[in-house]
Amino acid sequence: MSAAIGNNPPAGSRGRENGAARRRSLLRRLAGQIGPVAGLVVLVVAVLCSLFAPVLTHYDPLKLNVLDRLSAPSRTHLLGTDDFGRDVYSLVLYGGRASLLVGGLVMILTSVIGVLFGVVAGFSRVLDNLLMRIMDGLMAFPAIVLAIALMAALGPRLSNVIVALSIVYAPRTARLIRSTVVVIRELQYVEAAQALGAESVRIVWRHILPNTLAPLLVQATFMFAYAVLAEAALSFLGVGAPPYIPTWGNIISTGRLYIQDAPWIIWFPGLAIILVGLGLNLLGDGLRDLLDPRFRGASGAS
Amino acid sequence: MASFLLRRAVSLLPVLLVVMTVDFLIIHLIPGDPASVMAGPNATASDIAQLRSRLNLDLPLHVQFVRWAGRAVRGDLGESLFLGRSVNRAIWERAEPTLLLTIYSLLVAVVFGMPLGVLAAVRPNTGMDRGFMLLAVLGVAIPTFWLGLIFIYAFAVNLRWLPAAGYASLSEGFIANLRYLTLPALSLGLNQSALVARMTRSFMLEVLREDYIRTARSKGLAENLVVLRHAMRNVLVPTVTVVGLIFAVLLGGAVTTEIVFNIPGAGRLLIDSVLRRDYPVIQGAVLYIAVAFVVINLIVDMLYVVIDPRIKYA
Repeated sequence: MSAAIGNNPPAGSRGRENGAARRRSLLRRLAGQIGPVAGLVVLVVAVLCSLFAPVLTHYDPLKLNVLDRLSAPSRTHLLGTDDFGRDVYSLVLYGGRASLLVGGLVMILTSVIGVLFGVVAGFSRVLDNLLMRIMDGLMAFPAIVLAIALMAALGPRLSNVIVALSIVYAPRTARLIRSTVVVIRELQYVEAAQALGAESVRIVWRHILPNTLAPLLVQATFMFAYAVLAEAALSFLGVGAPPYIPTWGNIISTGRLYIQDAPWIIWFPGLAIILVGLGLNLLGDGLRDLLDPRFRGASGAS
Repeated sequence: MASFLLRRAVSLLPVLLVVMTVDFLIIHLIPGDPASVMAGPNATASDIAQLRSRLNLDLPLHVQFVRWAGRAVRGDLGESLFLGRSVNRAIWERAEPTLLLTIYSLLVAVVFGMPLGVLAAVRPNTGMDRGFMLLAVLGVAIPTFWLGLIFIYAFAVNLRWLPAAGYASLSEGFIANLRYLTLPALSLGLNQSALVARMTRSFMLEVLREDYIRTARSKGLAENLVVLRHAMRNVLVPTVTVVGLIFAVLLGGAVTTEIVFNIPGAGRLLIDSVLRRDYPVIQGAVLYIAVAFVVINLIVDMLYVVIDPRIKYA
């Protein structure tokens, strides 16, 4: 062990790489610029696969075929069939539609809500306290538990999953945006704009919003990943999308009953979730490194 | 110190107020008439009316909230609609598996995560470091419920080492309890060990750059003593915060894990109650979990101050 530590660069050069290198270390060192690119490719492939599902498979994912039930992966059924004889390959492709739709819409909604609340809180000292206490309160619930509670009230529908997850995750984005805005608000060029008599709306639109874009982009990527995972968990628990809509979580939920005889039912939707999650994490980490200077200025104040 | 603790506790009041408001509003987010939804499709009009008055649903909203919150603060969360007992009793009966599962998975997260993080930090930029960190990213992307199912498939169905599902309480013996909770705790904890490893690694890298580490090295101290005796102590301080955070996340994650492994815990109670529309129990369980979450974070904050004398009480 001690020999390896002896190979470290001398303390002086280590001091310089302190902040930035530590932050960007994980993935940049992991794969140079390959990481975020690979992440983006995985994500695009996943989206294309679910969009072009009808071209990529000639099975109807909802077509029942009792004679073929629980058959192992073969040439006719690439990834096998489930307990209703539905083709798992087609289910995973079509399931991606619901899962990615939820992820994408939750990403957009949390960004919009987060920016709205974050900018208002960061800019208005009157509303700041009130809004942030509400955000703190919402974040005092474990994410999945609040999502379950909201689904219990709203009822099991795909649209409600999107609403529930947006309520759960928007406070995180709002908090981040607020901390960014609070820093920018105090910068000299904002003061200069105020001195020139610019209206608040103009200052927010021209000077503050553009500077929130970098941290927002990184955050949005992670929100997409969280939402895909959370949607899968809710569906798996039976409180998310209704069972007749194929989503990755729903496929796993039915497959768990046949884990002994037909493990392929849970393998592939699980791998799809992992690939998309991994892709988004690689992309998010890569973006954060790329946008580091401005991002660091913002997060340092939070 | 006492005044610091008091102020810290008081600062939680607004958070708790929001938590209670959100929890209270769950019933009122139900589309349509909450009472008829709760009573179910076979209920008669008089059943529905009875339920409505029992839950005070015919009073103005703010009066309802004051009554509900007043009772909840005194620990009265009402009656279950299905179980024929108080919400409190229903939850406490199910608390043991959830608490033990959370504690065991916390141990898994720390026992796997911290050594990995330290090893990665003392050999930065080597293949091992990169391998560990790739594992850490992968760990974040794997859904715990899927990992649990894979563990059941591998270790219970195929190898038959451990039971696939179910639970034995501590009163039936520690070993029996551990047998049932090992796979659940692994599937829940490994995921978070990825986070512990990432955090430990970055804390360790930071501490290893401090002057006193250079002093320890230059006086000729063996490198593993420098790491374990000198650096480790200061890595432990920030790690405590992460561990508190993770404890709370695990408490939420326990819900899914209890469903995967069919463990009769509070999370299972929550999901069952959602499926049979037992709203008082849903509200109670959610409130318990959220308050536990808040209290754990408070304790962690306080521990942080106690452990690290450099942090002022102000």
